[in-house]
Amino acid sequence: MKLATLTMLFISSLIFLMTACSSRLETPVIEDDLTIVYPSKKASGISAKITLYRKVEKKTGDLLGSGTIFTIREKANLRAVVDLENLYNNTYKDLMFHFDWIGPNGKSFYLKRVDLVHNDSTSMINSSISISPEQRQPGEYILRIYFFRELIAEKKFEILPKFKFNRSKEKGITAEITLYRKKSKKTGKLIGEGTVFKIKEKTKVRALVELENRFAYGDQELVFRYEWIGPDGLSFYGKQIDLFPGDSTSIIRSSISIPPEKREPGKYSLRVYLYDTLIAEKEFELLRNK
Amino acid sequence: MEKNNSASTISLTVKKQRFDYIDQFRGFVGILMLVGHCSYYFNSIWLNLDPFDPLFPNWSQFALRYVGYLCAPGFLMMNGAMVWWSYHKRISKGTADWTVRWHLIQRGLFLIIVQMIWVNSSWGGFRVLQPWHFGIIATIGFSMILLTLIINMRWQIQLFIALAILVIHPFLLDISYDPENTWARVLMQTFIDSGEFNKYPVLPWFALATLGAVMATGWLKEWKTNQQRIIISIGIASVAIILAIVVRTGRGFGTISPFSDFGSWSFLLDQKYPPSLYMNLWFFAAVVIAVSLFIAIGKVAPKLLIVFSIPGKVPLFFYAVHLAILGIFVKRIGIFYREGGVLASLIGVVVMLVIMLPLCKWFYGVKRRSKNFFIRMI
Repeated sequence: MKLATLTMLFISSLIFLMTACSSRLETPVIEDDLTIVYPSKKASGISAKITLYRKVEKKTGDLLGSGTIFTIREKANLRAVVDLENLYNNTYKDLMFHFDWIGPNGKSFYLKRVDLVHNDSTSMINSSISISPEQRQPGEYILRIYFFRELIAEKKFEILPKFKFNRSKEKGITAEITLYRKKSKKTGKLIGEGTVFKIKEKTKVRALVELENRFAYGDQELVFRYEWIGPDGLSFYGKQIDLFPGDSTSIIRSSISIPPEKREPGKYSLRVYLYDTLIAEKEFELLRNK
Repeated sequence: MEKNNSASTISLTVKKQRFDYIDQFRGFVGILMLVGHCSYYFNSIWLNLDPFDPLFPNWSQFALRYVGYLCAPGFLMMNGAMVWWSYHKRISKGTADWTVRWHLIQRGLFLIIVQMIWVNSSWGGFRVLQPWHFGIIATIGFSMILLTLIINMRWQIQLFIALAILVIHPFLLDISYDPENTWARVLMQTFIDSGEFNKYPVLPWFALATLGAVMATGWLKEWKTNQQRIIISIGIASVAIILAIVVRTGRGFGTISPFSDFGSWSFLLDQKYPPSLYMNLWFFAAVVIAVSLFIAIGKVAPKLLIVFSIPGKVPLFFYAVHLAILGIFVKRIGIFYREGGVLASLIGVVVMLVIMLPLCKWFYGVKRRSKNFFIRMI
């Protein structure tokens, strides 16, 4: 009977020890980019770095608007890319990851499972959520990354309310438009500043918009829109420029070409909008080149 | 003469011990279920935890959830063992075969009704009546009814039926159906798959109940001494564990969720709803080992197990009442609902035990004295 009892206790201890295995350290490390990482107990264990961003620059592939503060916006998404380190040590088996997006109420609102089949050469996994006003509330959010159901990294981020324009000159952003022909490569000075330009081949009218009180809205994402208006009063060219919280730019630019086959002489104007609010307008005239 | 007395005393002790370790293990499983339910009501992890796809921030949260995984297999196997015992005991007393079976079927139907009328509504503190949902108690009842049909068969045939179901069940999971179609959902989730209608499909759990009946043949009849019970049980459990490990490490048939390394959380956490073949083998082994452990402890330190006997003698009462108390006070009134963590859950367990143990002791007395049909069914 004693032998049987000892055997039982041994087996129970073995099972207990087996279930006691956790592959991660309980104390997290906060990385420079504010990713909270739960390091692997093994040197060869997978680790994750979370980058949150708004969109990808199509030409360069750069991540735009990366950071931890985002603004609710119509038809906009917030994306996450997770760079996985030490993946090569684990490519002999299928790998299971989860993205768990947690809202200001502490509840998970989107759980996405990502399986990487063995020998997959991918070292990045992605997920995204909508930040449209009908989908998201302002507040503190968390993205958690799990590897085989264990928390390996998390990142906190904030979603700010939808932009509201402040008409007060002291508090709101104002814009000053300068029109010119070109910029000196040597001195950086603007050449041909004014409001009257001659229609010519290979010539452009450029606009430089200086923003005052650039950070009047704190860390909110700002969306500027240029509308170039022709003599018929209609917009013939528009351009959108996004300024993300990490971007300290206070000058934005746009330009149009003015060859004779494209432009008619007449009165034109450039309008600059912040979201849907007109914040600056400048009229100019195009003359036929005699 | 003295020798005979001694033999008779041993025989009586052994007979009593049989019931004690079953009661004690059933009580232990009931308390583990209380741990799981206290976590469900007090632990903020449940704001995010999806039981179909669980994720854990740390070991303590994992352990708190994982201990509860023993409950359903434990209850089903003990129910199977008790159905076996009850049938054979009554038959040996001369009761007619179908009278015994009808009694067991009535008990099974009673459990299904308890699920629909009491348990479903008690989760939310009886705010609304929610009869159209299946759950663990109904599955135990349904399994009991099915088991009644094969309870007089030889243990070898019962074992064959149970293993055949466990092996066939993974193939049945490939049957596609539209969860929006009520009839398809009810049919599939009653017997095969898990979902909103029922997390505990009857087929795999009936197989575990049948394995409980098979084990009862050994525990309660064939194996005459505790040493025999422990040694043979450990042998059977070892075979089941080896099979489970082979199935899991094969990463193919009988296993559903991928895992990282042997012995890791993910190795232990295969799909629970419905259970994979690996989970069924693993927890069958765990139940057999735990019962053996209770037999062993009962021999060397029986006082350690007394506390488990109390809920173990009235497991349905314990389940139904503790859930109702938690549902009313925590969910409906909102006392500390999902505001804490592991510690809060464990404090909740202690508080609930302080409430439940005297209640169970009282109800056991009432049940023993009562001749009321419903009281005796509980």
